[in-house]
Amino acid sequence: MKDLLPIIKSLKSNLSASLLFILQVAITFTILVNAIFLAMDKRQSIGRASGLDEQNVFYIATNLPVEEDERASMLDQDLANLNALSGVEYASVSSGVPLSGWGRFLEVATEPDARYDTFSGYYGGDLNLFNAFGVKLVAGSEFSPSSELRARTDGHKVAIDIMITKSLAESLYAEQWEQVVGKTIYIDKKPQRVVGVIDKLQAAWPTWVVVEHVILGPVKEADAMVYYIIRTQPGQQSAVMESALAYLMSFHGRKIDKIETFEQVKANAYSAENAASNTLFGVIGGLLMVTALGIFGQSRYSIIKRTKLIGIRRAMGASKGQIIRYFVLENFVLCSIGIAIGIVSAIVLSNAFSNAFSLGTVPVHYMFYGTLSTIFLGQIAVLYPALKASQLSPAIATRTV
Amino acid sequence: MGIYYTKLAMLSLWKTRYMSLLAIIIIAVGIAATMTTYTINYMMTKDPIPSKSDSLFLVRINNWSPDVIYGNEDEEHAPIYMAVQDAVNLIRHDKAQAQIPIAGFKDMLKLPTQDAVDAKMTFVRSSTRDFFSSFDVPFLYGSPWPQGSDKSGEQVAVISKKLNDQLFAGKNSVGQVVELGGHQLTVVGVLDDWSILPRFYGESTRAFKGPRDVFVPFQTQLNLELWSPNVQAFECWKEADNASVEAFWASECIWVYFWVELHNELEKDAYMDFLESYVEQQKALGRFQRPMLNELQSPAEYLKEREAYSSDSEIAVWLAICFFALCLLNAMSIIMTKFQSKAGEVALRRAVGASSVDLIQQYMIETGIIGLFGGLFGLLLSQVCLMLSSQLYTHLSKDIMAMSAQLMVVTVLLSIVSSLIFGLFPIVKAIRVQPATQLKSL
Repeated sequence: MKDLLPIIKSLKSNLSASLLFILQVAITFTILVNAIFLAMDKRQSIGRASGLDEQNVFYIATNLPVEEDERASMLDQDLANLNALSGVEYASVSSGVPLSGWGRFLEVATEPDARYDTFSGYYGGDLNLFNAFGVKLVAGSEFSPSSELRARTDGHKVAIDIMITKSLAESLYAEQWEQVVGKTIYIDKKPQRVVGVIDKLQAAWPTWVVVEHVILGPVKEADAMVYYIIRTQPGQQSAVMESALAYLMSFHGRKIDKIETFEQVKANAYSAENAASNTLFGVIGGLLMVTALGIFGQSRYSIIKRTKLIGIRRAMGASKGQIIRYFVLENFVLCSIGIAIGIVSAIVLSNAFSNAFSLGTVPVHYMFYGTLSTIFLGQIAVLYPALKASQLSPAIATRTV
Repeated sequence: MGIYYTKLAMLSLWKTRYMSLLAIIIIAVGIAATMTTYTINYMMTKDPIPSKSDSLFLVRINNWSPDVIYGNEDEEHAPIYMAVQDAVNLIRHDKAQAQIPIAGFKDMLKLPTQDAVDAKMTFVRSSTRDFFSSFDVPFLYGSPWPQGSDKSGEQVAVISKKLNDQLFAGKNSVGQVVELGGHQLTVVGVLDDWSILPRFYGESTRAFKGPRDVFVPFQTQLNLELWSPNVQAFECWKEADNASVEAFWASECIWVYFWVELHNELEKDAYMDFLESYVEQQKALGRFQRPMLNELQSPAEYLKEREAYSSDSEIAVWLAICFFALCLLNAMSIIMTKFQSKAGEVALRRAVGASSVDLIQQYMIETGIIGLFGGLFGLLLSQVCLMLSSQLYTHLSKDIMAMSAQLMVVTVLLSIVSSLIFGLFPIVKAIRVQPATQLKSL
């Protein structure tokens, strides 16, 4: 620690190089903290659980190739046959697919004449839909067999019993969300009774603010286009996809609009977030590399400049360890000053971003870990130049230059 | 003198070649990061159609339920799209320079000679012939369908170059027939390569995807009752009378975007007057029970209101600029190290009479050359980065990841100018030596 004073004094004599170093560390820290925060933010939304049995669910969007009045019976026939395929756990029909970008949203209110309290996504299907998604019940019960209804379109308008997600229940009743079971709430102004609460399920749009708000209705819709949701036994997915397609294509006039596993749906849904977070990680990688190179170069420079001084110190009895310690400590001091400035500018930048782009601000623990890793990076980069410095021969002090 | 200084600069660069190379690489990395993100952001937010941005307008009329405000907003705005009947009426009145309904559907497309299994699900855009002239769409073969086809709803199609390559091996296919969902359509035109970014005329969520591959007259879609429930977003405040497509066409369900081309304020005012009289007339028929909120909205305003632009690309630019600043500081310290060893040379030059301005000139040529090489290498790197981005950003059209010649020049200039500026400090520092003391130590 007794080196500290000379270090600070020598900063003054070497002001421009030191300032440059400090500035570099400060900028690195600013970008590092903000970029990691943004990347983590993206990762977090990608990592959110959809509530589905993601590995084992796939969907087929197809038509019902019969006249309109026969569609309902065609739908039942399809469902019965799909359920009978080997490897299928549950096959169901749904009015939409989570995260697929195509779906319905409804207004939700707790009072009949209130405008609305919040919005929610909606899926309607037969009684199997709950199990075909593979979602979990946290309160109340599943639909009773007698509650299943039929509609041609807009099943949410005829539903009587519904299930809602916990997140929606919490937004309506906060802490007392479990009380929602048995209560009547108003969906697009129509009174509907909540029979159960689902742990997690996501609406159709991944970037929607209330993506976790979902209403599930026991209403089968036999529209021109239907979505079959099929949950298979583990490992059976590709086989079932083939046999389901073969079955469906055995009807004349059948059009397969889309067949996708839920994992594909999710990858597509978050392709923007994925790309953005990968870019950010690329920036972070480049940043660390450039900074490490910079610190390395600067340390070399300051050591070459002080070759003679090092020689004198060695000649006067300083050990190799003391020389190394000096440069490591100097690096630490400069990094710390840089980080101190960096913390301020990181907060400024983070606030600027959050004002301009409505993002959150960087939490404090990012600053802490950012500090640790920046100092670590600095120490690693200075190690080799410091080692080289310690190997200078004391005899160098006797030479001019 | 310039040539001599350049020679000296080259010699000096070679003498400290590793350090020079390092400076060049670091500048190049910074330039590449900045220009890659800037290009993407620039392409995403640029004016999609500069020659027409003042003359194209989205027509918004307030057709919604008498009981609630559309979209449940606090401030009432007319919906972005309209019902089929209004689109048809506005086309029939023909009060604008060009009238472009934007509708669509999807269906199975194949050649009449192909088997049903080879048919591919294809997105189809339906509009009028004005679509092609108003949006400056280039044709490779043939032309837009004639006006008569818009009126009668003839079974004709314009196809993209890509589709023409797939179906007809790139040959002139005008007069050939394609089969779309069982309907035979005659090809009247083939588009040349065409992209329009951001693609403002349809759903804002798809503004950065390429245009569709098949175009048919709007009236043809109506006549043939071609409707896919999961292609065009639609909203209904009143249910259609029955489930048929015909009833849907006649319903109050809104889903057709309607653009017009109006060349000056006079035409705009005249069109607003026309819209007012049209809505009044419909009010008399019992429709349009809400306050009149007619609006003509420009592409830029529309995209902004629909929040089509993602803030990610803008954030990336800001981060990249910070990164570039860091790279420049880094390069600056390398150049400083480089010039450190020049003290003797500087002292000698000063002693034999060179002014400090002479020396600054000489060394600026050297930093300028570093900037030039950094810029060229950075340009190369940014092309690689853009290529990687087009692999990574699968949700965006590939056309976004292309740098214009203008941007390329800007890239190199930016590199040179910033190297000169950031190199100035090391130069000034280097030439501030005292010739006498320095010479003594030689």
